[in-house]
Amino acid sequence: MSIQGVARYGSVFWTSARQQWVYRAELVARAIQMILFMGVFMALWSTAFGVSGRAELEGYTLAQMVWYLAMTETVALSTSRIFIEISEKVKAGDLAYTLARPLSYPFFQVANSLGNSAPRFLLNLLTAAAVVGLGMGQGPVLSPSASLGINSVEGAGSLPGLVTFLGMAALALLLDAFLAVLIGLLAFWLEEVTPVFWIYQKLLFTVGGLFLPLEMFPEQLQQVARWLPFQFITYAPARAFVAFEPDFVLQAVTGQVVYIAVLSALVALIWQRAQQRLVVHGG
Amino acid sequence: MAVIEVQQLTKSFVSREKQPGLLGSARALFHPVCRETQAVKGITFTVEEGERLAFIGPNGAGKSTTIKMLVGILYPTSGEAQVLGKTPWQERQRLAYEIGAVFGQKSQLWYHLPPQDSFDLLARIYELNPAVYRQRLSYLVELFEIGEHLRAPVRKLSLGERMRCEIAASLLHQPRILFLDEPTIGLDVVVKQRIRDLILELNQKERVTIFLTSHDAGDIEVLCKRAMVINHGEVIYDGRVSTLKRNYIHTKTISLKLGDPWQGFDGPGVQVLKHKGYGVKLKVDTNVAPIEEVVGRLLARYTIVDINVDNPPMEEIIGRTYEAEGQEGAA
Repeated sequence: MSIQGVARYGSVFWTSARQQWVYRAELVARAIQMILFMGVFMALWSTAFGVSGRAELEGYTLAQMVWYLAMTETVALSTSRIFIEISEKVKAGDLAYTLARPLSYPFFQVANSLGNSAPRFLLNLLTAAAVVGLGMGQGPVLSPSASLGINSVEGAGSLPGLVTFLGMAALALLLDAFLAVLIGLLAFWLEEVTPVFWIYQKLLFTVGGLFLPLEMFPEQLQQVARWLPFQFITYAPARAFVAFEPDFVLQAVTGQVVYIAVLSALVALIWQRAQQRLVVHGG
Repeated sequence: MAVIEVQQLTKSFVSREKQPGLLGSARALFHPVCRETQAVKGITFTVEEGERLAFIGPNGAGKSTTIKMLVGILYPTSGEAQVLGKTPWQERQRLAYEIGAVFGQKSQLWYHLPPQDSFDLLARIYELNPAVYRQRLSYLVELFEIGEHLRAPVRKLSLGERMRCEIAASLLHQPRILFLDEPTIGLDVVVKQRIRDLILELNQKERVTIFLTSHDAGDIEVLCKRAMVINHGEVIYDGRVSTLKRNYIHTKTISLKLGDPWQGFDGPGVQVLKHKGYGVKLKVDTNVAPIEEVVGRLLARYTIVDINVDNPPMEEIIGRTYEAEGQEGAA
């Protein structure tokens, strides 16, 4: 694709982000949700660490655990809902305009979805950081000695950690957007796609490491989870934030890119099939 | 030069049928019963550059299906079509640069953003040169008189204002053919007329080919020279609008609310359909008595509280077209 070709999707992203900004009340509601979640997590894990009497659980200190959760929630609460729009339009036969453009429909929706996610992501990140920073009484920058693993060269939330997190979160949301578009396109075959989304969401909760880092899983489950795409969306960026390890980052980013490539091919394939079915839904 | 060539274009839909009830659902799961409906049955026609063609028919006649095949959104079941030398469903994205489409019941503008933002995005999508785009936009803004609406969120515009912006949006990339699917649906009489004037002006200034579907006989009368009537997926009339009008759309109904009691009204070509108290409904044959003349005489004789002049419904026009076909066949 030419540079101009990519720039067109960039414009879609930008327009979509600006439209999202109109739903400011919804954004505030989301921020409140984030405050509640993080409040609960801080109380829960303070108690857990207190009861265990240990300074670390599976390599995580209390502060790292809470920051980890702040970052997984930041990504998870910013994930795409584009499948709702796609499936509604498919069912109502309301694709005419977007289809009559010199654009690929599914990739248009990926850009649209990312535009939806971006403002929410920024707000979630700021809210989570503020709540946890205040609640834990310390900023995200921890001393290197408190970080995970032996290869860790920087402490949790260091500048490299933050920059890496932002980059990986962007890839995570792109991966998520492809999954959401894929779920939306299933509306060509299924009457109702929301249950498929629920399954995806629950997989993020569990094997995606949303509530619990992968290190805390039983060994076998951990092995399975590491090969699945879900951990690249929530676990990997958050883990990179709390403990910046170049090896881990390289491995995780590779995984993200591979899954994005696989899913974009899958989306293109499914779309090709879907186009022939457009008919049934009256275009 | 022909810009649209269609040969034996056919589209059929397969829909699954289900018996009512839970048992029916279970049965449909294992032995699905499929039913095929032919929405478009082998239509053939050609459209020349700069033509204004009305594609008319009642709901479900196959108008939208045909338009959607011509812009490349739907794959046909069989048959061929060439739009500007391209097969639409095979070269949809490349064709998109040269054609524009307006779907009256849908919106292409971002609902919460001002139309200006949607225009800017479209300029990017169609890869317009910024200078060309600015010039084109100011021309369209002036023509459609949408200057004051450019910066208001779309949700705050009236339907008529929004529709003018929608059509302008479809014209930014200077399409050679403009497909309009029910562009005046839901608009009031004055706005409808306004939209028609604009489309006409555009056709005359830029030689844009106009392909319009509508079930409003008024759109066709004012806007188009040529009409194709489609019903049950088949073309039942293809010819001049003036002929269609003279032969099939030559009656209008006048509904009146009077200030004084009805005392009758006679004249050639005028038929009283019903009257009750102060309300009357007349049918006027415009080939015999011009509508202006009948209204003038009514005004001279009665105090009129309310008056409505309507075209015959599309179903009636179709019915008459069939009758005429039948007679020709018999003769």
